[in-house]
Amino acid sequence: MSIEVKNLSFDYEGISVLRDVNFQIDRGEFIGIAGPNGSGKSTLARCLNGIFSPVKGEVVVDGISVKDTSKQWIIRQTVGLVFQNPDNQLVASIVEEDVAFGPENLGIPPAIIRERVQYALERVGLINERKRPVSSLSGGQKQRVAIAGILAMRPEYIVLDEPTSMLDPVGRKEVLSTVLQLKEEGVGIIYITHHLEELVYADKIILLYKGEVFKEGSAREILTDEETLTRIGLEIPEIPALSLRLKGLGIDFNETPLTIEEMVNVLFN
Amino acid sequence: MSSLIEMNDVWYQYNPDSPLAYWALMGVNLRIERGEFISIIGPTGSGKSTLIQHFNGLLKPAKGEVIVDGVDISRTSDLKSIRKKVGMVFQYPETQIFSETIYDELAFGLRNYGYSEDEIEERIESVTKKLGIDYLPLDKSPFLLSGGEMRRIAIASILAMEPEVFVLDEPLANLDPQGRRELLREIDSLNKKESLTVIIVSHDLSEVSRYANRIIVLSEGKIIMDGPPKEIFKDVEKLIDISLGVPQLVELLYNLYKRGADIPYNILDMEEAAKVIVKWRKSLGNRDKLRTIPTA
Amino acid sequence: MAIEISFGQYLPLDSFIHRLDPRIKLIITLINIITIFIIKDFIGYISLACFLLFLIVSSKVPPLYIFRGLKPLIFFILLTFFLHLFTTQGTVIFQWWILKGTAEGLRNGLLMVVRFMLLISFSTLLTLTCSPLELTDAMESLMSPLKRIGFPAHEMAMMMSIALRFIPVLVEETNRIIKAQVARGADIESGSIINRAKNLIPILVPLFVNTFKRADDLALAMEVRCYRGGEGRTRMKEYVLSSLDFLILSISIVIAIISILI
Repeated sequence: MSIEVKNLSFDYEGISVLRDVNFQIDRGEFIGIAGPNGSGKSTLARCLNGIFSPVKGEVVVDGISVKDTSKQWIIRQTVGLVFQNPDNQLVASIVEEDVAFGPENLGIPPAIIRERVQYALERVGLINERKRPVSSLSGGQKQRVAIAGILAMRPEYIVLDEPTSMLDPVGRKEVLSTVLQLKEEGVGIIYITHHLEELVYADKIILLYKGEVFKEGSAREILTDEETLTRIGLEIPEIPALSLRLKGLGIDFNETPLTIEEMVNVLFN
Repeated sequence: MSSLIEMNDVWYQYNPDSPLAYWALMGVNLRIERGEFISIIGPTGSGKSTLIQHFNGLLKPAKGEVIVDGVDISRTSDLKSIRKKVGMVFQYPETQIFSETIYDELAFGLRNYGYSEDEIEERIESVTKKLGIDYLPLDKSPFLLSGGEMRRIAIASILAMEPEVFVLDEPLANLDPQGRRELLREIDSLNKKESLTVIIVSHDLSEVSRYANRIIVLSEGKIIMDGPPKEIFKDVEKLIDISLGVPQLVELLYNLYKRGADIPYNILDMEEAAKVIVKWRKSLGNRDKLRTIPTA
Repeated sequence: MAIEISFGQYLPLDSFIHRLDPRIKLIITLINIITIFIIKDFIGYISLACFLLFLIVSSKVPPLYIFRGLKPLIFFILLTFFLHLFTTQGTVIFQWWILKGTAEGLRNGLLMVVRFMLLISFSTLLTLTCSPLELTDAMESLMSPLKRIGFPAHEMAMMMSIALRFIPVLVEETNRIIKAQVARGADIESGSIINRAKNLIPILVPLFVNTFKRADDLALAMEVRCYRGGEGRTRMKEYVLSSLDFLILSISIVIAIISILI
């Protein structure tokens, strides 16, 4: 079971936004997509659940083409989308009512909706806030409510389009650890960002630039490729950058450290 | 000459006399001198935005006094001239754009202060150069620009008023790395070349701290630290405790230190950090030099 | 300079009023509103006000919240009062400049003031004790018979619910934009009426632009969560009428009748 993106191209008002994009993501995988503003990241996100239909090429979700409009609701339920602005994606005023919105649209019986809301809020650690008005929550909490709203539809994949770019450091950590835990539970994660340090745990990173896949590889390959990252307007995270400096000064690594933990362990060995 | 901004025992309360009343500032004392590059850091809800809105009289203290360039904001009837001295850029300033053309947007503040059209034109030309947006067609709608360009227009519209102190609330939020880098460099050069006093508010120490010469840390309505970056980072533990984003480099060095490495950890420069680590590693040949881990 | 709004803000407390079926609360409010307009004498308003007081106390809502709901409308209420005072024909009780205050005008003016205050207090109490979703669910359910004649009951309810959800967001945004423009030297509080209207442009234009952007984002967010109108939709909350609901409804009807008849 997987999402397959094959030779995907997309035009918007006559301008080519995505060209010949190829990749695949399996359930339980964490794929990071990074690129500067205007690289086509958000468009790609919207192609993955059929909000945008490919102009050329294909996106196939668990064997169903997103072009098949008779299956569009199944696809949207299978591939959930979380957006950047936490305020603009919550529909209801109270936490649990918002989380219930998706399942209600799917026509699920009330008793089961309640179970799912409970389940989803537990997953994102907000079960105690279920009765609170969303306007009283922090940005990170709002974003977790948005994730819960998607989880309550029992998706197989979640696409997150710059979910942390409007959050403070606490909110970022909250969202990222929630996402990592979902991956462990078998949900496929497509995480779009330009904060590359958030992708150190990704199974694979795809760099988008001007609508094309510029480079793809493991987190270690991509996050230590300072030249490529700088060239497309991104920034190498601090720990990989330090690793490269240390290498230059003669410290040998078998594997270039990406995280503080890895670096501490390597240096004390 | 007196300080540019002086706050003496400033208190501020939201929703006074209501069930929702709470104190956002509690006894803040602060002096800001001309030419400084200050970063005001604090987690969400620490009172940063409340604090800076006292600088131009958008808020007035419930108790205490705020003196801007010799004028007490609670007593003056001319807040307008204080607002010209203290240029303030709010969070996501691109959302305040309203004019039909880029030119009109940049001229808005100047017109409010009654400048002649000749002078307005001159100032717009100079400010667009300083912020690297002189390539934009001034007669076009600002709403057609990219998010990053719109932000620069908004920032330029305030800079055009030639303030003495430039206050920016989270100016880097939501920009991509290149956008962040460029904007910071431009603000830095305004401070260095034009000796403009700059105050940047942020919840993240990682980016701004490399440029600022002074960091003020706010927590729960009080200033808990105030000093040059190197001094502030000596107390990393406290910064992490109040949930601030600390540069990963400092966090790493601090972790090495805690595990027993004999190194300073208040280093912000990548090359310097690398050298310190290499030096420490070489000295490791001799096991005795490894400090014992301090027990809690 | 800042705007405060308590209307439309739900206060999640634990009281039997909060636990009442939202449909019943909506019906009771409607009955009270209709009664307010039928009553012609002060004595009827007193009995209605007592009922209101009983509801407020049992709902555990601090009375301050109700008054905050009245605050933004004080100007409007006073205006109505003076209009009645000076424009009603009758016995002149005092004269000021060309304005003549009449006894009938005073009475009518006071009646209007009481009417308004009761009206706003009842509706504020409703929004304070019903979450927006409960409220819109109730509306949709009460209006659903009209669906047969093509009335968009679900759409109306959804619009209401979204409007209520975004009130706090928009209030915050308006305040921020006002501050941002004031920081650029905009003067929004003085000048002639025409100037003041002109000065609203820098506030209203960004507010509209940003609101359209939000609407766009929200529509997309609803679409990805499989929203496709009211058809085939279910509800998490099931409303079952209890004997308490019927009791309160009956009390309310009795009080309405008494208030009208005395």
